Amino acid sequence: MSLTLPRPALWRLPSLPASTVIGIALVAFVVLGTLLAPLIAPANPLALSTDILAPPDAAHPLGTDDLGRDLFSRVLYGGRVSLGIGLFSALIGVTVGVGIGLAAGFFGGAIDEALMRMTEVFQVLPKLLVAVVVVSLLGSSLLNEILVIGLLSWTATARIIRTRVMVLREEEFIAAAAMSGASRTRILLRHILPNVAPYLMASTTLQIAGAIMSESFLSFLGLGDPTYPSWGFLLQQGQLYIDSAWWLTTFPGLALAMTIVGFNLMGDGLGQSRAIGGARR
Amino acid sequence: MVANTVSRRGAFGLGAGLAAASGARAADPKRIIGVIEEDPPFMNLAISSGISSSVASAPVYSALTRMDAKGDITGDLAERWDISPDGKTYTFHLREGVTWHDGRPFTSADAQFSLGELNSKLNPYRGALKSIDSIDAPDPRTVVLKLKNPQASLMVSLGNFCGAILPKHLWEGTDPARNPHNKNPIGTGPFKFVSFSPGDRITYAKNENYFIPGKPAFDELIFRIIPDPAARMAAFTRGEIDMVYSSALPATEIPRVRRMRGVDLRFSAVQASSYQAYINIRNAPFDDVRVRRALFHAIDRKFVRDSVFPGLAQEMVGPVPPNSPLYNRALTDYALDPARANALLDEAGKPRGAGGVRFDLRYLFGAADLSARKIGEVMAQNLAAVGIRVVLTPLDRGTLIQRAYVAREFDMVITSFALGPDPDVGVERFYNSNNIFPVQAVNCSPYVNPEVDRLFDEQRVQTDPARRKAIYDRIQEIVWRDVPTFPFCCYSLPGAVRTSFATGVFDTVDAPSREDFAFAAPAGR
Repeated sequence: MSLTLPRPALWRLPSLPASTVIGIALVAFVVLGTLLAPLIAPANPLALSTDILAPPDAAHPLGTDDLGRDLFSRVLYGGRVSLGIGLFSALIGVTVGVGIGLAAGFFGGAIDEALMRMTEVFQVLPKLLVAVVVVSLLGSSLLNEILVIGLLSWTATARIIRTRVMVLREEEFIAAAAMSGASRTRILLRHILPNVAPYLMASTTLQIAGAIMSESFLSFLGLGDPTYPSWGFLLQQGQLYIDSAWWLTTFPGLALAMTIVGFNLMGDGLGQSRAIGGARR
Repeated sequence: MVANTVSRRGAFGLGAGLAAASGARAADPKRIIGVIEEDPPFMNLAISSGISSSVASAPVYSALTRMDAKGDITGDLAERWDISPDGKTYTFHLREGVTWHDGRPFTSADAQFSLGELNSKLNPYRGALKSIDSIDAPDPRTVVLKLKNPQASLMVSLGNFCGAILPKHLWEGTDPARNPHNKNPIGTGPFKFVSFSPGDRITYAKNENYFIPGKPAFDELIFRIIPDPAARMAAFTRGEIDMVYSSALPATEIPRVRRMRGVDLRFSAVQASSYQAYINIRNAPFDDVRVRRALFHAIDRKFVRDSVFPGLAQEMVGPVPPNSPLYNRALTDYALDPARANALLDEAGKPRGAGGVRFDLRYLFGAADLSARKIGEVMAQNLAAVGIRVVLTPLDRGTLIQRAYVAREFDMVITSFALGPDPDVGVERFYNSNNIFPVQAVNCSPYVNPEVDRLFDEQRVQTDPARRKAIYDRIQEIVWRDVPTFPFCCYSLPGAVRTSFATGVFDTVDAPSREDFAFAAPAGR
């Protein structure tokens, strides 16, 4: 007997809405810029020079900062830090969220109860405040920032996945798999996980945007890792010169805005497409 | 309190550039608002020398004497004084009718107790009081200090750094570190402490019974607490704050403040402040003097002066600031020479390992200290070139004190220090081995050199200025050879105040201290 499994919905979607395309383009632009930083950047982002607080010109397309460092290079490399923190903390958040969501939705009962109460506890924590306290106590480092942001941002994913799993659990193809002797682990990994994957695309994308925001917030409060200056860190450094060197806040701010808007448009688009796809399945 | 802040903001929001302060003054001409960077852990000048503590407690206390803008000593609680011809007996005649803020009368017993039990035992600058043999109070209006030997710098010390007089009736028999009046200070100064709301403000009211009639001119003094330098300067620009000074005024802001209209920017004529790091000389590899000298050859101090303190900083060669009469002009600076630094590090047996890195250097600084962070970023670049990886570690105040000064978990820790009008007061404390304690602003490297200790003792009893200078020259030579600290540069302490309402705020040495608040006046009065 051959059992036709529904394929993940995302891949058979019609053309994407314009806003999603814009989002993807923005993200692609930013990601490409930071990936190609070693090729594009005119200078080492940490190299000092006596050209202090120089406005944008041919030598320094985005000007220099208070230690004479090239801002264009700093923005490019700062993107690596911001995007890296965004990506890795979103991965942590999504992994934890998926684990908890799958377990709660699939096993139900007491496990579900326990996991959902825990999720609620995390959900009501004032996340940024907790992050500020933890980073102040443990010290500013990339790893601490990634861990704190990641471990505080899994609750939404967990809830979405749980709900989706609870629906899937009752589907006929799951019952069929169970009757044909598949173990619970096999059902979970082979039949349920692939079917929640499309939801993850949207939720991960939105989480990256959220994590980049959280990181810039921490950096803006002076809690960023000064060894690896992120966009938020550049903003914080620049704000002292907001009336005398506009470029120091404008360009990191633009980069940050483009990225967050990009990821949000992309995430929203993917979320809507997934909803359509889900209905069709 | 919140409502008050909002309404002030609202009023200023419309016309920030429109000399907002004058508007505020019209409504409330007798209130002056300053700013500090952090919650002061203590408001007790006798046991704490931290800048926030000093600034926050200065308006409350008095001393026997004080130093004026020109560096001359004048009376404060003491009306006059006599010094015996042999320079070993100081007799102070105190003012009549001075009362504490709680109404009790001030007597010579308070001075005797404050100098003998608090300042001599607990003040971070107490080394400067070492010559005192006995303190007597023969009658309620007289204090007699007998010295073991003459001491040239004693009056400077008593007037500025180690002479705050606290009420004996509130301190006797208590543990000074736990006395509740550390947070609720009672003094004889021009302003009475009213309230302290952490993270927000400290409020003071005029002392109606201040011993100088008609002073102070202000009914209310407020110190706002704003740790973020940008927010602090924005508040000053908007006119929410009337004065900003000392380390609360970031060096990077000086050029902008200079351009601001209606603002009086001053620099202390007598006192320099240094940006100086302790090197942890008990920790390998910094126990090796060659490694420490390599730092001097590798770090571009001129770049630090030009970029972090543009147009403000002076070069510092040796431990004594160049504006001091005791400065040793014969010292030569360590030349910027990365090749020499590399050679010294090789010689010290610290070869480059993986990735060209020889070792890590943990550089600790206050998270709100912008200049320290910029210095760290410069240093990280300079030292990377010779294979030293700088770990930039910004910490909040409490953690910094714990990590650096109590636990000594640092390789370099930086702070700005007032170097005092005399090196006995502001410099000796970093190098005399009798001043090693787990607190900040003392000998924290910690540096132990019996010869230096002996020379400090020798110069203290010298009455001949030339001989004293010769001994100080030698001290500077030795310290500059051993380099237990890293002086980046020094600069005159800056202060800025709105001219629209106050004059004379920054006319003294430690800009500004209690006398500034006592003698400052609203404009046009």
